[in-house]
Amino acid sequence: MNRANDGNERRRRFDALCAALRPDLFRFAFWLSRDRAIAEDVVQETLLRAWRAMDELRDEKAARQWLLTIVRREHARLYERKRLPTVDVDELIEREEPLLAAPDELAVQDVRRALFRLEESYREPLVLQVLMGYSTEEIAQHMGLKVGAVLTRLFRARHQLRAILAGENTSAVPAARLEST
Amino acid sequence: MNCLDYRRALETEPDRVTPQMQAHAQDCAACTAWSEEARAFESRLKRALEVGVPPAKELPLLPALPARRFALAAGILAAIGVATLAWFSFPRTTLAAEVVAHVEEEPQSWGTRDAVASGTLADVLERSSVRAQFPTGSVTYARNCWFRGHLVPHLVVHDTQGTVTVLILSAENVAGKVSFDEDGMRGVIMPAEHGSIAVLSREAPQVDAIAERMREALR
Repeated sequence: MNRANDGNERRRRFDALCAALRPDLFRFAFWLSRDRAIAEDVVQETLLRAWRAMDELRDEKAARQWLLTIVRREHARLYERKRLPTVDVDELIEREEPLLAAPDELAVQDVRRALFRLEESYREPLVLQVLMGYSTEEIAQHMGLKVGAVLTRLFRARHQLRAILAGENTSAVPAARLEST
Repeated sequence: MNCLDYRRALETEPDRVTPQMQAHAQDCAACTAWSEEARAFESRLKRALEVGVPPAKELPLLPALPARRFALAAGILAAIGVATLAWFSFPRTTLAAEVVAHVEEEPQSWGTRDAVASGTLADVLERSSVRAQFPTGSVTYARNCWFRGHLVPHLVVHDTQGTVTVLILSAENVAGKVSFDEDGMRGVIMPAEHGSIAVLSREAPQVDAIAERMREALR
């Protein structure tokens, strides 16, 4: 009976964590993949892995960072397993148009499209900083980089984003990889 | 601190304003104006990143985690149980059960009668490195799903003898054809040229015959 109660309590805690953190996990996965369906799958896989490894989480205050780390790993695992073909970034934008064209002001939509064109190595630290509120040191730890490298990427990310928005030809923007649904 | 340093610092860590930066902004009208614009940009950036979140998918039935003090014993017992079951009934209680569980997680797959566009179907197949040719207009659901660590095509196909769900399991090898009947679904898992194919249905009485046609559709 106690074991059943323990199990129920654990599931209840886990469900509460999922409900609270799922928006962050989805948005992080989406900006990594730029593909809504992949993001949903990555989040699903993340939550399953998290459930199996729930005992590793000693402090629930650290749950968000722990889960975001799993999202990053699951997203990377997808590319390790599958060599996905290349597709033009315009095609990716077109595919996610319903999400990009959410009822926001036009300027916000423009920024979303520009973010699609931003290199992943710049996009990820930017998302962690702006959306997740990570400090530079936390981003460095999350990405396995030195603090100086993170600062450089953050600066370049904004610089490149402004250039894209200004309509400049940014040769640093590569064709996007296709990420599946 | 000069203007360049000020702007570089603000473009790198906008929320971290040091006393030196404050001092510079007080003396530099251009940088003060620039920082206002930068703040507006940050606000737009944050809103842009906050894309809408789709409703949560129902998580699959999560395996119960035993209380820690019983974990080892339960783990050993579970391993013995799984091995025994696998020995007597592989793959029925493993692969087949997972196939059924997966299909039940996506009930919306049965709800559409509109044919999937040929380009969409081709994308789904290509992403899983699968080649197949289904009759035009016969596929009403096609997406790539995570299954046992692989991205597999999950299709709903309307055959002349009934509607079936097809999972193309290129990474799952089975020794021979296995029929199953689980949770109101009848189906078969059979070897295919690469891995195996699972075909199941709630309604079609001739699943075996349909499954053969689905296998033939794989190239």
